[in-house]
Amino acid sequence: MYVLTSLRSAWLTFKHLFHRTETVQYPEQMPYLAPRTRGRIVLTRDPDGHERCVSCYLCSAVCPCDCISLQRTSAPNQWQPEFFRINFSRCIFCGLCEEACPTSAIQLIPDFEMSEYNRQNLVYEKENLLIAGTGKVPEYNYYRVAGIDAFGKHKGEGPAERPPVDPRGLMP
Amino acid sequence: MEVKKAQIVVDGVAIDIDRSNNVLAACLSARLDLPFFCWHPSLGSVGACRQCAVTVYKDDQDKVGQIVMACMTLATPGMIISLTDTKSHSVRQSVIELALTNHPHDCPVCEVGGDCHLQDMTVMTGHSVRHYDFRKRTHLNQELGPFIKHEMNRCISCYRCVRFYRDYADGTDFGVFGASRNVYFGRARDGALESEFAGNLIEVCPTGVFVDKPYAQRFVRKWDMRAMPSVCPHCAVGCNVTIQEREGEFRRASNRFNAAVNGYFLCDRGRFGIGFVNEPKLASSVRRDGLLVATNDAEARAHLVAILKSETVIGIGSPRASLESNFMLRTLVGPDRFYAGTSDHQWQIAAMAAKIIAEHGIPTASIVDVEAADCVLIIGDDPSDVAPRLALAVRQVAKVSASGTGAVVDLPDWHADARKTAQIFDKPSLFIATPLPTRLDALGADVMRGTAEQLTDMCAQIETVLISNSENDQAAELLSGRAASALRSAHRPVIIVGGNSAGANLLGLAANIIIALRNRGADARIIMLLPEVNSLGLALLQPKSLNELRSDPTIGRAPGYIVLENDFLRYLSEGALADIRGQEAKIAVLDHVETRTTQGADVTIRCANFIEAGGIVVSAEGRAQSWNQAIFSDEPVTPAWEILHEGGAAAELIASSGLRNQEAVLNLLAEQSAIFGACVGMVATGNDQAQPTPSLPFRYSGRTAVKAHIDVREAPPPPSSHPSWSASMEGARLHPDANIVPQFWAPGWNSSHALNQFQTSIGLSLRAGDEGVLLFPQDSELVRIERSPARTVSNDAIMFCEISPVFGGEALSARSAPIRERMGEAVVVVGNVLAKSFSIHDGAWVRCDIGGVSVVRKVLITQSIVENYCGITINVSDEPDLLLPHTGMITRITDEGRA
Repeated sequence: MYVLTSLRSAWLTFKHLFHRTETVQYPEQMPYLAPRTRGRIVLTRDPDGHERCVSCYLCSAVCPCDCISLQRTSAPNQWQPEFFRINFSRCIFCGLCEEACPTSAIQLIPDFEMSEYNRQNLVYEKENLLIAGTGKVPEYNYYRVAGIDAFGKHKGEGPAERPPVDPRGLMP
Repeated sequence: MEVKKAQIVVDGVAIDIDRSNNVLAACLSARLDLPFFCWHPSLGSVGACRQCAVTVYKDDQDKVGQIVMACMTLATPGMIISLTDTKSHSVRQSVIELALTNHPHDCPVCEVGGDCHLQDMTVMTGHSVRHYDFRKRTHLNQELGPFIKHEMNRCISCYRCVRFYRDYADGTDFGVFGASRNVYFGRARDGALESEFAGNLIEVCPTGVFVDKPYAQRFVRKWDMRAMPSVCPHCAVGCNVTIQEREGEFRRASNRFNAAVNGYFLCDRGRFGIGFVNEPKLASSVRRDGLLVATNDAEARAHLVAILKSETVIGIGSPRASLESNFMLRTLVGPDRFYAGTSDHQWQIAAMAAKIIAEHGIPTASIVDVEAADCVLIIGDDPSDVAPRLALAVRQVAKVSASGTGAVVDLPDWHADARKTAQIFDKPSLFIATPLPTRLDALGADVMRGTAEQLTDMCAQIETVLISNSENDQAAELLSGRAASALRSAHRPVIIVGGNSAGANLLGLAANIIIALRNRGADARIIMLLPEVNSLGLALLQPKSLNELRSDPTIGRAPGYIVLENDFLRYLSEGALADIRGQEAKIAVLDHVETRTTQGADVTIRCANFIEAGGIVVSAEGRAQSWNQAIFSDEPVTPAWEILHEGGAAAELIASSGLRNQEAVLNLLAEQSAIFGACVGMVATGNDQAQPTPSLPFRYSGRTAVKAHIDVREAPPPPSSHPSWSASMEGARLHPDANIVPQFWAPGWNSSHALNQFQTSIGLSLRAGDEGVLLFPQDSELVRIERSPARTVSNDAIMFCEISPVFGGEALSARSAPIRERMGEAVVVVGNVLAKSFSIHDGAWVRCDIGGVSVVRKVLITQSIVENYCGITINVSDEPDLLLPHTGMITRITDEGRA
């Protein structure tokens, strides 16, 4: 029995001599990564160019390694992060933050080349995370549908909103 | 009170009910998940939202059943109901779908998300897909002042806000507008909500229409904040609050239910005043060449030791510092050199209150006792200003008396609308006798305005009538006669008495009325209005009055003053201040805020405030409650008692070992004074828990990133100062039966309504027991207080009495930014007769010269004030104490003169 399994293993190993080679000459030769690949995290902007992140704190809540931290600005009606920090030395690239994000602001992109000699350099602030475009979700603009006043959009101007009610009117 | 217990059957399981309660409360008491909106444990039922539908079956044979609203159905023994049947479940699901048709898609940008009753109830009903495919109704928001942010789109029209604001808190400037599906909850026009209880709308609203504005400006989600129970430091009622912080920064204070103290509501001074902890704090400093120079703590403490080594050391205790700190100071300087850091008048009131409770055995009333009282007599001061939460309870007396006593018909307590109707037929049994107008006058009370002498006589008359047991016909014309006859027939009367305007003497006289009533068999109780959170605690340590400081000849040259957390220079007259300067005194101040006293001190030492270290305070009720360390910053701040202990040991005034922790200090205190025995148990280190309770919620986020910009390596969690608590997420997770609960949360209940899951029964005590211990037995022998001679005032002088407004009348809360915004203009309230004789009109500017101090005030003319009395608002921030009540003079000034 022992001899048989040894022979079988030797045969399987031998067969690999004739397989197609899978080695890629990285980094000279870049492999194809699908857009859904969960790599470096970025913060995107909406089609109008505003930061999409509304600092709702859902990504930080869902993060299993607690590596996201943020603080909303103190401006009363402005929902944007004062700081937004990801400690990539802790991040496990699970993508739960992307799933939790209600505004499609936080997205994982197919970039994994983040090696550093100094761990401290793996702490990314908002400036390091923000990109200029909309990322994988080109259309979505949360504030257009959120029902609150933001960035020049007033009550009743959203696509699914009626004009504001006159509380002194008595019409039904 | 006898609770008649019985059982009902819910989905085949028998649950206990309180017979006077409704099905909804019974189900929630049994910790069953039944959604609701318009019902509130304190506001009762109106059956408006139709959310709590359940199926009731006639008997075992009935398989069809009938849908009823649980909140409007009396739980009767033997009732068979179902929550899980498909019929009632689909009703609940459809109702919430209707409620949500116009609710915006804004949970991510809503401050209440994660702390939202509407979210919880939506998940509870299982509603997930909306069938409504039309455009949503929108509303414009209003600017409602510095406390509350308005986002009207989120409204689901449950009407709780108006029921609280108008019906419960008697506010008038907020209401409901519009018709049908367009109803709008707000004010007639933009402006700050006038009621000092408006902040409760934040918690009363089941969703995010009313948002805590200061919190929204430093916003994090509920799950990202540490929560610790604490006691509001802004008056002597001692309301329980939950302090929430993140990374060493205070974020929010919210109501913490205590069945015996504040129940479900707080006042705005407490809720928004606590923000003072985020204002600039005192820095330790030392005076060099006449200037205060900032220094490190070690050097400041070395200077403290030098002052403690002076020949005479005088300690000035504080009504806003903990019992431990005051006691440590008294231990260092000795009882003969321990003075109260309050005006002499306030000292007299507090000393009298302590005497009445500790030596004369008069039982005190809690807020619950006031709400359940069948007759309330208010003497001397307006509780609306001094103890706002108490005034809110008094407002309920007018409503309780209509139904609670069964005067009209026997209505259940929770039947809110029926009770409101019944109120029309009943006059509240509320009597008010004060020199100045009160804001409770409008409740339909029997009101008398009297001078200090008239109030004294009135109290004596009431007592005489009650003792003699005779109907005094001539007294029927007077308030004393009417009050006496109402008190005589009352079973649970409460007397609220304050000595601010009319002297400490009144407290003793009111206590004598209580004795007369108790001798008649009534459960009469007293509440004495005291200004500060630990006024009673300090008075029980028997400090001397600052007036005695001046007359003490044994104080030699260059004495040392150790001032504990108070602004005692405010309370000294010009002469006394000159005396202290003449003595070449050295003053060391331990405080956490900058005051006039710290500016004039030789050494200032930063000590912990009420959220930076633990401590025990005694409320006016005689209830010892504890502050807990709620902020764990990188550089821990030492409480004053520890600094004093260290200094005292270095100066060889006390042994260096022994008093190392709170428990040891309180043990020594209990040895010296048995009444404090119960305090020891409150901080006892030997707890029966296997593991400490974590003070961080289990969803606390960002631990590995929040300080990563400073150092990517994570620091260990801060140590906890108390063995029952852990400062991190580690420890035994909270359980409804745990004896320590930092924050109320239960699965499926993320909002403040999770409290239901922790109570023995809806509206009653927590299963872990209410926090705080009453220091005095409520059944001791009653000893009558001998009447001391009343002060005499010449008739032609004007008597100035203090008005300390809700916003700005208390020194710590007056530092909080939103409270500063709400402070009104400083006024002098003048009667119309007096105004005519001085020919001053409403809104004119006058100079008031009161005992050597002159201040400028705007005139407010009133009809309802006793002759020759004026009320004057105090300015705790910028002026010395006016040492009121005091006689003085009014002079009219022009606008140029004002400048």
